[in-house]
Amino acid sequence: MKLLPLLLCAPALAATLTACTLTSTDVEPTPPQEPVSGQATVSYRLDGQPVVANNYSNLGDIFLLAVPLLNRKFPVEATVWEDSTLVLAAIDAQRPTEESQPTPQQVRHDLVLRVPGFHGVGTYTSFEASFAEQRRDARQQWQSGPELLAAPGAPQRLTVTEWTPDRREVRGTFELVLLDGGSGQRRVVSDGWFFALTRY
Amino acid sequence: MLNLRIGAAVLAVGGVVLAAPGARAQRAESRLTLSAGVGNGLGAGAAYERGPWLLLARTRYKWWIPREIDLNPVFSRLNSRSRQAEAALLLGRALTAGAHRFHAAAGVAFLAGRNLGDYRYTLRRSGLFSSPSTDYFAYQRYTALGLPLELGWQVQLDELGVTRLGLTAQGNLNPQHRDLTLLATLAFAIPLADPR
Repeated sequence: MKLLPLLLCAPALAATLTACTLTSTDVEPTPPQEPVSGQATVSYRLDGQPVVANNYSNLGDIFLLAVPLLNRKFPVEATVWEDSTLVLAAIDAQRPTEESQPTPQQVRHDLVLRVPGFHGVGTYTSFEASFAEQRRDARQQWQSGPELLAAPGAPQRLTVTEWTPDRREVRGTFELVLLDGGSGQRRVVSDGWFFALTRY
Repeated sequence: MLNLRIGAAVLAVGGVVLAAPGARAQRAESRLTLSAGVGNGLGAGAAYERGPWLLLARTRYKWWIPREIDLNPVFSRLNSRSRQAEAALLLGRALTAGAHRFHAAAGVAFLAGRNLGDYRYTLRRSGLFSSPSTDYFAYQRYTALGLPLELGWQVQLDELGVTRLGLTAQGNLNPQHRDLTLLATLAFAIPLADPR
């Protein structure tokens, strides 16, 4: 009968010694590839991490957002200029909505794409890009990091899949590589997706 | 190493239950006990009890907001939580004292879950003043093997001991998320035919 406790201990000991991780996968949430609540949306992965910029019509959020945007009216803006250059600008102003206290380190990304010779649906491989990461400092001021430009020679592509001039709707995908001219650091933008109402 | 130490402590408590007098005096009658519990998790289990021995299969699911993430638990959605599901097989001993029954068990568990990581983005729905929205986080998905431990107390609610109410402390030692779940349980013990 002395064996009985041993019988009980055996599986416990075995499990302690074999307790292990079988599989472990890091998962990044998928950025949305549809207009979020029907509004202009730009989403992409920056070095694999999702970034989502979206115009939304909640009064409180607009006031909170519009102030730090300074020279822009909306987080996502698309404009077709007279020289038929399409400019797509996207700032994500992300913070957890349900957060009970503000995050000390808030980050946002400002991406601007300039597509010359915009002619509607098609693939554009030659366009300009500028990108900056902005962080909020201790005094709640946005501090912009170095400006990154499209890396010369790196593959870049912007495809307009839908263009309805009467409704001014543009929709498409993009990918490119950004280069920090100062440090030589490269950042990869992949899975880019956009939907916007263009202004003239 | 901490796993080993906690394991040893729980086994020591289990040992007290094992060594308790009276355990041997019980008749070898067998029962099938089905139980469900609610606490800082949801649990369900089935135990085959024969005399003082019990073979226990349990499942447990729980979800929680990690301490590092400062979210309001009332308003944040379910997708901003870490989760863990467990399926475990345990072998244990029970001790009956009057209407009370105590048990200790240990075994092997399979775990599947996710550990919430950094905040990534929020999708807001349009509303004039309210903004129903969903926060998205990066996370780590895992499956693991762990050491499940269980200490339980049950009290009979009827003469025959069919309906039992109790408290269960379920531990799980594993490399991903060491866990302690306290459950208030309701159990039904169905007597099986005596093997003799």
